[in-house]
Amino acid sequence: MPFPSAATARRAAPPPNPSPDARAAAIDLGRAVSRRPLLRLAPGVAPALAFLHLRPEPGVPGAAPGDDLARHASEGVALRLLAALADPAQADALLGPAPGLLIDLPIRAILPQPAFTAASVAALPLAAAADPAAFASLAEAARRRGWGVALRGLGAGTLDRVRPRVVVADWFIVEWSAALGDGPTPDGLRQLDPPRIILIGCDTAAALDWGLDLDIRIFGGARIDAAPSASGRGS
Amino acid sequence: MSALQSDRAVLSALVRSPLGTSDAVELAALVRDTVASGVEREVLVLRLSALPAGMRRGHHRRLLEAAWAPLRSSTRSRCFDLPNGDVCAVEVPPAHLLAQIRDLLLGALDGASSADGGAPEGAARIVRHLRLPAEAAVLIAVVEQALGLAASSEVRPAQAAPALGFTAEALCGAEKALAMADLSPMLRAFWACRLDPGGGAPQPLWEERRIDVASVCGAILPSHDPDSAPWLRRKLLKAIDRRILAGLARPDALRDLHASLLPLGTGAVNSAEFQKFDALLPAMLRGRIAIAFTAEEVLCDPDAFLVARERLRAGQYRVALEVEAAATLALVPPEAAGFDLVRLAWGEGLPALGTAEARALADALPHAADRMLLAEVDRPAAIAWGWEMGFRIFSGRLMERRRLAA
Repeated sequence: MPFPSAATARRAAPPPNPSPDARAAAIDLGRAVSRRPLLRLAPGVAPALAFLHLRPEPGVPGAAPGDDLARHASEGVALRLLAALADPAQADALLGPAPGLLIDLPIRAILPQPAFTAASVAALPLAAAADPAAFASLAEAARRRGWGVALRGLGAGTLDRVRPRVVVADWFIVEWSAALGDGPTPDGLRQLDPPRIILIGCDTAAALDWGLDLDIRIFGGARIDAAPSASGRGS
Repeated sequence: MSALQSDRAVLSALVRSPLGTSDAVELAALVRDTVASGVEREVLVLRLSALPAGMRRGHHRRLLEAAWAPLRSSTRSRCFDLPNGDVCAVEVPPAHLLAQIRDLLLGALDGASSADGGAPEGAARIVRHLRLPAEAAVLIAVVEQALGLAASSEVRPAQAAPALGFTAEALCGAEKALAMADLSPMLRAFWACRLDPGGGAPQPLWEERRIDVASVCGAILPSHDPDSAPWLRRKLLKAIDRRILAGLARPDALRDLHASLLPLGTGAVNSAEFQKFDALLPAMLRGRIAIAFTAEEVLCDPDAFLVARERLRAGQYRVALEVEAAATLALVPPEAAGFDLVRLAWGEGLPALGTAEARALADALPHAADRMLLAEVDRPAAIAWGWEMGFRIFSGRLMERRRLAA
């Protein structure tokens, strides 16, 4: 387990129905945060690990994943994760050999100076861009502290309605779904610079083909988790 | 001394020494406005005058000024330079940038004190995060001191109890309190009116009914800061919306209902309370009710928005997008996102006429005067700006005054 927080987990063992706050504060970070590889793919080139994608997913009993309570708990875990990353020992254990770290964070996260040399990218929710000018200021503050900024929450359901190209972000995280591949490329996606898109949720070969056709180069999802170079140790 | 009395003292001092004090005048006026209107603002104060002598210049000073810089360039915040070197920034809540800069400044001050071995006497005395109108008196004291009016070198701390972080337990308590609370005194109603250039008196079109969320939270969640947990705040807002819908579905409320614009969250539209309201809505009002969503609400749960929008379309409601910053319309183009109406709030951050930004905004607005509303109009300049941008429907304090005078 990369996070030495087992002691906290033991201490907080079994209140029968813990509140989201108690859960976020006590849950073992290694269990509450999914760590998944994002691979750089290109025709004729060996796949290479580009980022490790950290997503707080503590889950709250009785709450659906998109529920406000579940999202509140995820934010609590994200803030704990940031604190853990500020500690070099924990950050090294967490990062392993990945050249970059992409972490889902809430708008209100205060970014520490990264304690590691790899590229660090804060993936902020789409709602943070409701005022694109305010988002640009946040991104600027993040860059001064050595962080890149990604916009997350894009997918078939949003890209036909929003135009993320007006958002000043280094990366745009798009979630693959069959609906994305079925219809014409949505306007919001067509206007983005493909090398700055990260396509996650790729569970089929068709998803990867679709992305490669659009010149997207960085991919994540079940299909990628299974790839031999996904551990980062082979390359 | 009340904030307003003290405000008068500030203004009379300014008459005597007007040099370099225009920001102080404007800041005092802004404080007075928030006290008079109850409008909430967050303020960050950086008291450079209170820095220990060793930190007033050189790299310490540059570090603090660099940390402050984003507040000067952000369109959401407004900066005031006081005559004694203190600086203040004002932002509309939720003031994310303000909070981030506050933490940066506190971090910089902490770093400086540990590096030099000498603590700046309490970083919290140098960096203050205040809320208006609740802490108007504290801010007026800062202005007084900047103008040399106050003998005391210490700014009195706020009277209000320290706000606690908002937790799920506190949410449960607030939801229980909400069930008992009488929301009617916290409901604000004002009319949107058609006003044509040279066209005479404003012609009322529909009533906007908006709950004063800050007052409600003050009543049902007195010792917690709802902004400290945005998702819990959203859940609480949904509960408030459902209470309002349940109230609107009562027979007496339905009798008094006219053409209206109701700001709601997507969760409230997808609730049983809305279904009941919809089922009881008199036929003559169908097609005359608009439901308004903020851009943030649309973006934080796009799927829920889609469901809500389809439900509203089926019931012949108009779907409105509430916008505060011009750039929001570039991210959420009203037509593509399926909005029938744009409600733009008038404010200092909107682009000046004739600029490229103003042209881009005019392009992004629906090209139909009956599908756009300029709200929060408080001065004639706003109407003049609105007319040039193609607006013919206005609401806000100024329109209320004109409508009642007509």
